[in-house]
Amino acid sequence: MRSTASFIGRLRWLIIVPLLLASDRPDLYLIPLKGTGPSSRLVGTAKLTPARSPFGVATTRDGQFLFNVDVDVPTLPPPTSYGPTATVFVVWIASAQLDRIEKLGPLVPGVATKGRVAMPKFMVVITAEPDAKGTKWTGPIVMRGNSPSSYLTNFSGHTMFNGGVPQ
Amino acid sequence: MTIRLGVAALILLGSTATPLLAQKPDSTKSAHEHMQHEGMNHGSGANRMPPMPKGMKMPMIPGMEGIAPKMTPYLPGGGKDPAEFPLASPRKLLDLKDGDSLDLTAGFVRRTLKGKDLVMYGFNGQYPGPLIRVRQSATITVRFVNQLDFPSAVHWHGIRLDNQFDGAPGVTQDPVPVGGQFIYRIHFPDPGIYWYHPHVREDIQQDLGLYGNMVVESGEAGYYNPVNDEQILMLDDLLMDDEGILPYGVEAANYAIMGRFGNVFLVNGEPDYTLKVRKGEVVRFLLTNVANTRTFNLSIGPNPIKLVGADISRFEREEMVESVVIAPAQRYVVEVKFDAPGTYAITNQVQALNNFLGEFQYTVDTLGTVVVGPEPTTRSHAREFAALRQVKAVSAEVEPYRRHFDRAPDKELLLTVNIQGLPITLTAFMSVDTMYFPPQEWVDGMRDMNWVATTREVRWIMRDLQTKKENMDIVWDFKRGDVIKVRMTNDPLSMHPMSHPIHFHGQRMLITARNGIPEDNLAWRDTILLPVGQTVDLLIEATNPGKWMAHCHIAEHLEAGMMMVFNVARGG
Ligand SMILES: [Cu+2]
Repeated sequence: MRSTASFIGRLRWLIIVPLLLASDRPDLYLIPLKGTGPSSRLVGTAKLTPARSPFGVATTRDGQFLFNVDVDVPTLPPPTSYGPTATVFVVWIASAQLDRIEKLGPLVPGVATKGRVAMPKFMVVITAEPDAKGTKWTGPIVMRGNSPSSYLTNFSGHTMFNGGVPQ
Repeated sequence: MTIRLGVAALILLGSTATPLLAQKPDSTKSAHEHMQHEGMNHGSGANRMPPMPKGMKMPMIPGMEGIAPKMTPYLPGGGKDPAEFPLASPRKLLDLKDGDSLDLTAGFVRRTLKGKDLVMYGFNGQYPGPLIRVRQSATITVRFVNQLDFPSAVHWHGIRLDNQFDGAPGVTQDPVPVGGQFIYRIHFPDPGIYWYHPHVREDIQQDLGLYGNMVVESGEAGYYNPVNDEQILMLDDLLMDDEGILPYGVEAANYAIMGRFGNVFLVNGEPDYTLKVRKGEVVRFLLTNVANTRTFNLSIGPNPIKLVGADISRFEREEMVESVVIAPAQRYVVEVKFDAPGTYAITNQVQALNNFLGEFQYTVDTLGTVVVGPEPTTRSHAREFAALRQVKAVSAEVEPYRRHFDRAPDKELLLTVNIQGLPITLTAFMSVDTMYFPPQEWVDGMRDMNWVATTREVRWIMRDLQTKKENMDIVWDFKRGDVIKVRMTNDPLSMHPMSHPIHFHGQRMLITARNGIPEDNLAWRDTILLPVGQTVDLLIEATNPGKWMAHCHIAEHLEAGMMMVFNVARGG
């Protein structure tokens, strides 16, 4: 009985493993940006390039990887379509817990907004703002994307622990 | 953009593989065979699971019960009382002149670390091995005697010496048997900081203390900046638990995925390295990373760090850095200025990835201490420290090679891995964990899997993209005077990508670009760190004839096959 159970147990893995491996892996250095809500058809990218370092791994003293980030959205509707006061799109980098928000800069369609990021897990957020002076966003979120590191998941929360096959 | 990994069927086959299908990395066969026929078969100590990395919590993976790495555990001394072995002493400085000779014996020593009496290895009974200091262009003779319990040989890392003395068994010499000896003649063409270590089962021999530095002094006045003190530091980590050192594998190396990360940090073999300086002093540190797999991110409090040199030469221009990222086998020369009195920890600060929780954890390891006294220095070098030198000699030496920088690569290598035959539950867990890999892993964040994985199941690969050949099937043929451009890419799509420090023997090389972006501050090197998913362009200057190795300097990756050979013909 016991060996039959373990055989079935093994069979379950045989199904799960290939499914997991066949799933899409995010690119480690390219973040797809997706429009939110009514802007859901918008597309863009945030390209991560390891920052220059004589060591080949660019880090801060406390070990955060340093990336140059180029945010590029080819086409966007006029900012005013997101509200009468909106005049400009602004790119932000926000930590996963939203406890740190840094402004990357204003975004013009077809022109990359460039900046630098050193956070373990982060989001790239594009909002429509009255101006580009604020330190936090106030307008609606137009597009967003998650850093590749955001795909790190807690094993214990994974469906394979509950005997299920991942979605 | 996403990348589809369309190899499900292949992985299914791999993951169902029983030990019958587990492949032995053929390229490492010779080292294992040597070990066995020389009788290193006295396994001792249970095959214990290592402690968690500092500050990390993760439950044991379900299904791990009863699973252990498939190798006979090895610890030196065969279970004898450590008191039977001679107590090791700190390294001694040996000033050698052109024509001098030295006896270098590898043997057993006794050491006490973390309150444990341990049997370890040492060169001439010292930790690290003797510090050899020579002048540039000197030639010395070393009679190496092997008094270990398995074969060995000494590789003189970074030295562009005669091929027959390179110390790479299977390529330049036969391994030196137990009780045997080998005469090395070492010529030092380049100034800088170098090191020596065995090139047989580095995962064991080097880890247990067989490493030493060589300082080659330039005849040029002012080659380095004036400083108040110079410290030559070998950085290491040793994996221990309450019983002592964790066992190694006889037939196969364990920790074959990520390599053996230690939890006891050693500077020059000491867990409590301390340096005393005066306020305002500038210290030059010649750093060598001799750890099996750990890359350090070093700093000494907030004190400013000036980067001066790499493996084989100074940089074209000095620059200030926040920290020093140094991978196994690499060397960096830095200067640090200590302006404020106080006690500063020499730290390795990293964002450690806990693969189970899927989180980064800020972790600080302390390697030593610098105490800055209140009395000011009697001789300030603040002015020289503040000036960032342009080193024209390096730029001039690089100049003739610049015409090669933009051309297409002559050779292309892909760094990847093949894992087969691990228990199915582990394979399942690893496959959950394939969504993201950081450019550099700083700790063993998947302890269970790494501990179980041996070089029977894990094959690390250098693949020639033109010939599709892998590892020791690759033999590149060059002739003396060739300048070879090599493009290396670190495959982001393998089962477990990792950054690799790749070492080319016997020549020197330049990094001309990383990820297509030209490198703007060059230095001659012998070991290049290539992070996950990234690309590096190298220019190798083939001036030193012979048959040479190139390999990953993570000791366990080397054991898992990650090595190849290139020939430099003498030419006409
Ligand atoms: Cu490697």
